[in-house]
Amino acid sequence: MIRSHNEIATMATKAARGAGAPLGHAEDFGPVVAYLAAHDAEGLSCLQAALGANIRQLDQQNTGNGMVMNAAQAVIAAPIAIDMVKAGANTVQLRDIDAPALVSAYCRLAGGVTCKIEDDYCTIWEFLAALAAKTYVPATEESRLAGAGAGLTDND
Amino acid sequence: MTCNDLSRHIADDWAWACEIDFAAKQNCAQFWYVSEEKALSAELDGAKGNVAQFLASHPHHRSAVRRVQTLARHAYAEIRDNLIGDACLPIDMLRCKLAFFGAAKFDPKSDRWTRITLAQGAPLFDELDNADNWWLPTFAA
Repeated sequence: MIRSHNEIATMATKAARGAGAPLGHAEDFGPVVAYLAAHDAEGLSCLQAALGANIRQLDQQNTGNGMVMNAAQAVIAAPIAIDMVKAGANTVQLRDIDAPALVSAYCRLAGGVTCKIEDDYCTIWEFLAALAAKTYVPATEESRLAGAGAGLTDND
Repeated sequence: MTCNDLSRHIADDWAWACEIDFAAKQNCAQFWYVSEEKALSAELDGAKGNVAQFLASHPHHRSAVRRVQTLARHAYAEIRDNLIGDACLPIDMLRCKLAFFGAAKFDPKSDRWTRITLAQGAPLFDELDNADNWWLPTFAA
């Protein structure tokens, strides 16, 4: 099955949302996964590490001219790290990152941000689809009667 | 962008959203979209520094902030209406969006969906060599 950039980005956005990522972080995640699919397909193997655990509050400390994030989850930490660098921070350190390949892709897509991976222990369509399914609202008799597309077949 | 700038954009562009009483049933009668604007305004009160720092502490506001920053640059980026209010008719937005795609012959089936015709009059594969002036042709009634 060949999937378009747009299909991959949309599925990945919904998967991140289904995994519990804040909406804005899910919106950032989708295009990064599509970028990985196009440029570093091997990097896709880290998606399970990125979305498989519960999304946690960012554990961050400001440093002199930067920030340190502990037990960093890429889907949360990477966009924030890029924000900080673009807003003038010198260095943002992501410790024990769950998906280094993903962080690297975030940085390449953002442009103007240098990403240096010091340790790489990055420990998927069905996986993404199962998470995306968590964002869907189940149909009910009421929705079938009153929702979009209700009441008529498309073949009248 | 500073937090002060973000507050100013919310005040300038989103006053209509901040004034809606979301505790009133008629203003959240529909389920398809959750407005975060009100909560954002409250947590932004007193915030100092830049928006990157604010979002590091409040990642759940990232999407709403993106919308505020986008609308500040692109006046038509948002439908400025309460999309979950009971007076909202999805068909109005559908018609607008579909019109951009070149849809015609709108045939609404309810206030939630419509039958349309796309690309009527467009050339078929074997007609592409002689396909001038087909876009949005005049339809017979």
